[in-house]
Amino acid sequence: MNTGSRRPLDERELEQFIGSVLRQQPLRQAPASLEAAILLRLAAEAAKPWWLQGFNRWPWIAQILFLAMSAGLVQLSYQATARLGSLWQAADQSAPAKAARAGVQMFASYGDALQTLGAMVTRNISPLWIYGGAGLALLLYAALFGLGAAAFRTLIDVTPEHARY
Amino acid sequence: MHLSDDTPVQTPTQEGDRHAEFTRFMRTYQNMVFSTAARLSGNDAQAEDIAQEVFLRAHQRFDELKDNPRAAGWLKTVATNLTFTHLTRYRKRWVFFSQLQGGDDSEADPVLEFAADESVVENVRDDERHEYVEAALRELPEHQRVPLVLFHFEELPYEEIAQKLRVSLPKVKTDIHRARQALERILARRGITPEQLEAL
Repeated sequence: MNTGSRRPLDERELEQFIGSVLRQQPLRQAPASLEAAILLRLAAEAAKPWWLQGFNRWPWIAQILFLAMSAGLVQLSYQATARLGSLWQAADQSAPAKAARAGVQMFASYGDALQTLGAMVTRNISPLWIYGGAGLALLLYAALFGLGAAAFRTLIDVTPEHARY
Repeated sequence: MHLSDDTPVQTPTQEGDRHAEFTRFMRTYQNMVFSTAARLSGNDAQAEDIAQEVFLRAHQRFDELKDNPRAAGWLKTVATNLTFTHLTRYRKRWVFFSQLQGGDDSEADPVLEFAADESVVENVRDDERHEYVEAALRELPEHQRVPLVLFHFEELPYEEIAQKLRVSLPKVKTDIHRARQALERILARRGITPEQLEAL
């Protein structure tokens, strides 16, 4: 058939044609092996012990026991949490815990003192002095770094062995 | 699902009946499930795996499904979803590349090269035509085949297809249109044309 001479189909005609072709397609034949493969997998599933199968396939007595045990575990975990809470309170009142708390309080007071000092400095010294001081510190740091590098290069010979002669 | 219907309390006879019933159920629907998966995935081996998975799930809910008139719909939906799951690992790449290709609409998709058939006849026999159409579908790129199958076989509207595939509505329409064009070209080489179809 000479397909070159045919008038091209417009969008609607194309949709109708392809729709018609595809509508006439029968279902594909499933492979002969499919049924056997499914039955084999079902048999393998059924051969598993009940506890390895889904919960809904467990015997009802096992389901009830499992639920009861789960409820018991929840209760036990509540009790354990409460017991741990009382143990923690007792430990909190012991001598080492008190000493640790005093240590923490001492550090906190140092922190407070530093904070007060900082606030006092910023309140009483003008920002120009603060920024100027910071700038000077940076400048001095850079100058010292440069001096250190120059001294290192001058005083210590770092030329590789093979390049000395 | 009623627990009392399940295996642990079933007698051997009941178990045998259930087994026979399920086998009948499988035989009724296996072609439909396999067709859905095969046409969407374009891969028979993958479709067989998917069909197995569908029936294993159906077995778990067999008591609900066995006399249910909506069982076919349920099976189709599960088959479609499982096929999507199989395709998901490639979907991001697929969307990316198909949109990259589709950036310029004037650029046509590559024409599918089917071996030229010397013995093109006016009236192709039905079974040959069916086989040829299935082969042509398999040859379509995935981003065209999947929406085409969903539209023509699963009868989903464009909007739902776009939603399912997480792509835009115009893209779905373009992909389906291009898929139809590609299919038409392939079918024409075998003499399958609107005129020939009308003459049948």
